[in-house]
This record gives sequence, C-alpha cells and structure tokens, in this order.
Amino acid sequence: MNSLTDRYVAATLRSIPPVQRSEIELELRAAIADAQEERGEVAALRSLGHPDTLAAAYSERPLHLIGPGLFPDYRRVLAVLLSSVVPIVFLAAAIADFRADAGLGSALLVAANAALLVALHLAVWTTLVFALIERSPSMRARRTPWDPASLPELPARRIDLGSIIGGSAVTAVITAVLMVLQATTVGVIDPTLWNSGALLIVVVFAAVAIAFDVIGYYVGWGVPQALASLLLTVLFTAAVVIAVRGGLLNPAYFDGIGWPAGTEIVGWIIIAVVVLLGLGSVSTAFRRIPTKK
Amino acid sequence: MIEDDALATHRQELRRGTAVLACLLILRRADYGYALLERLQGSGFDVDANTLYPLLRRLEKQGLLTSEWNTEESRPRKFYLTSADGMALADMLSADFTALHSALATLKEETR
Repeated sequence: MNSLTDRYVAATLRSIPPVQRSEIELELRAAIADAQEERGEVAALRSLGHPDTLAAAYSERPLHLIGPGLFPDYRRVLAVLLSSVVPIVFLAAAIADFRADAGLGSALLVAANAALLVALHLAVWTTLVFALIERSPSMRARRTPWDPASLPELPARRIDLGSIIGGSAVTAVITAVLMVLQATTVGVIDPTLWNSGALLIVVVFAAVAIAFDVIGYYVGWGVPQALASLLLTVLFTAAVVIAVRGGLLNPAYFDGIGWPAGTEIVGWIIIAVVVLLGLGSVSTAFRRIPTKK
Repeated sequence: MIEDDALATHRQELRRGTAVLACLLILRRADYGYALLERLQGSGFDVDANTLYPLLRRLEKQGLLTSEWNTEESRPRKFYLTSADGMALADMLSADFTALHSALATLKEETR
C-alpha cells in the first residue's frame, strides 16, 4: 500500500507538464515532510488542499472553461443561436417527415429529435470556440475594449406581450370556427385532409411562431431573429399555397351552398391573405431590429 | 454587522495584497518554504501552503528570487533568496505601501 504522501504526490503530478514534474516532486515531498513533522501527515496534506487545485496553481492554468471576461458574450451568442435555429429546424423536420406520409405523432417525434440534435451541436461548438478564445492569448489580445457608441438604440416601437398573445388568440378562434363548421356542416375543408389530422400541423406552426416571438422578446431581437422569422413566414406561406392548390377546400361544400366557383376563388383569397399577412409580419420583424449607430 | 464570510473576505483581501512584499523582505535572508510559511502566518499574513509554494516558483520564474537545494541537513530542502531585482521590487512596493498608508491617514483626517 502506498503511503498517503505517495498518493498525494502522484495525484498532483498527474496534471503537471512532464518537464516540471521531477523538480516539483522534490519540492512537494520536502514541504510535506516539514509540515508532517509538526502536524502529522493528514493535517499536512489537508493544508496543501486538493491535488488538482495545487497542480493548477503550479502550472498556472485557468480553472474555468470560459472566464468572466467572455462569459456574457458567450451566453448571448448561445441564446441567439438556439432561439433562431432550433425552431426552424423543428418545423422543417416536422413538415418534411409529415409530407413523407407519416402520422402527426411520428412527425413531432422526428422533429423533436432533429431539434435536440441541432441544439446540442450548437451548444458544443459554441462552447468549444469560446473555450479556445479563452485559452489563446493572441486571440484575446485582438478583442477591442467595449465602446459605448456601439450600444444599440432602443427600438422605436416596443412589441408588447399583448399583441403577441392577441395573435395566438386569433389563431385559436379561427381554429375553433373551422372545427365547428367542419363538424356541423358539410365541411369547408376537404374531408380526407381533415381526417388525417394534417391541419394540426398549422397549430404546431402557430405554436412555434408564438414561442419564437416570446423568446425573441426576452432574448433580444436582432438580424438573426428577423431572418429566422422571414424563413418561418416563407415556409408557412409555401405550405399554405401547396395545401390550397393541392385540394384543401372541399368542392362539395361550395356546390352545396350554390357557389361552385367558390373553391377556386376562396382558395385564391386565402393565398392572398396569407401572403399579405406574411409580408406584414416580415416587415415588422425587420423593423424591430434595433439600429446601431 | 455584516456576515462572517463577507467580513473574512474583506480582511483577507487586505492581507493578500501585501503577501508578496512580505516574502521578498523575509527572504533577504535565505530560507526554505515551510519556515517561510510559518513566519508569514505568524506575522498575520493570510497565506496558505497551496498558494505559497506556487507563488515562490512564480517569483523565481520572474527573476525576483533565486533558489538552491541545500543537501547538508538530514532532509534536502530548497532555499530561496531574494535577488537584486527582487530587492528593487521590494523597495518599490515598500514605497507604495508607505504612500498608501499616509494617503489613508490623510483621508481619515479630511473626511472626519
């Protein structure tokens, strides 16, 4: 059995560069021996503290991955990346899997899986980059000191939580109306489409858009969020166009109310409304970006 | 009265700033790690073993101390001695300390 001292010395030397090991070992053993004479072995080792901490002090390596200087930037970058990219990946994966004829449950599972994977990758690579910057003196020297002139201006119009929640309320009302119409009359929506539960994807979409908005509200709005919002809007508009042209509306309903041409016309109205709303939402997204001097 | 942890930290900060100067002064006469540690702790400087030994290596690397292994005694010991550069720094730090001391005294008088 090795003595306590031997184990301590070995544990300390483990994390010290090989070049310095022999000399530090001599010093350390001498120091332990001196202290041991007065206080005993255990107290002597205790006074030296954890071997890893001692080794770090000897080799002057930082005991953190990302230090206080870089941490705020790191946190902000990570927040922006996650809040921009993950919702889009989730939605894209859900739509892709859904169009491949899977059920809604499977689509959500695939989407969640993809979103998690992307989130993990983002977190790992961002952390790695910042840890490297922390440890590289030359890269840190290139960081210029903070300049007050670079502070973003306050946004002219603060988008309040009220308007965001208002949007979700409207979506809920429209969905409820559709469901009632579908159940009580000859449905407006094509029955096969309705029965497949595909329109739930619209609800998923709305949920993602709202979550996106709320996160952006708290994390801060910038160009990445605006671009992501643009992408989201384009995806939604494209999906609606495909759905309408692909037989969203039920011709039987329009025949029933004596307006056969209604299928075409209402279809185009829907497309027009969605495109206009999309344009409005995109312009709001870009207007929200705080302008920097 | 503020809580013990905060109090201890404030007092520790005051002592930690002067530990290097104390080392340079004591080591004008060569001595080894443990003896120095005892001396410092006895004089009220808040220094742990796990900070002192790496500190001595660092000061040596900066050229403020020189070292020599003494193999005469029963146990070989590494003796440190303040170098010429170390003496120069000690003088500078001492002057700084005196300046701070009188500045504080003046402040106490002025803001009475």
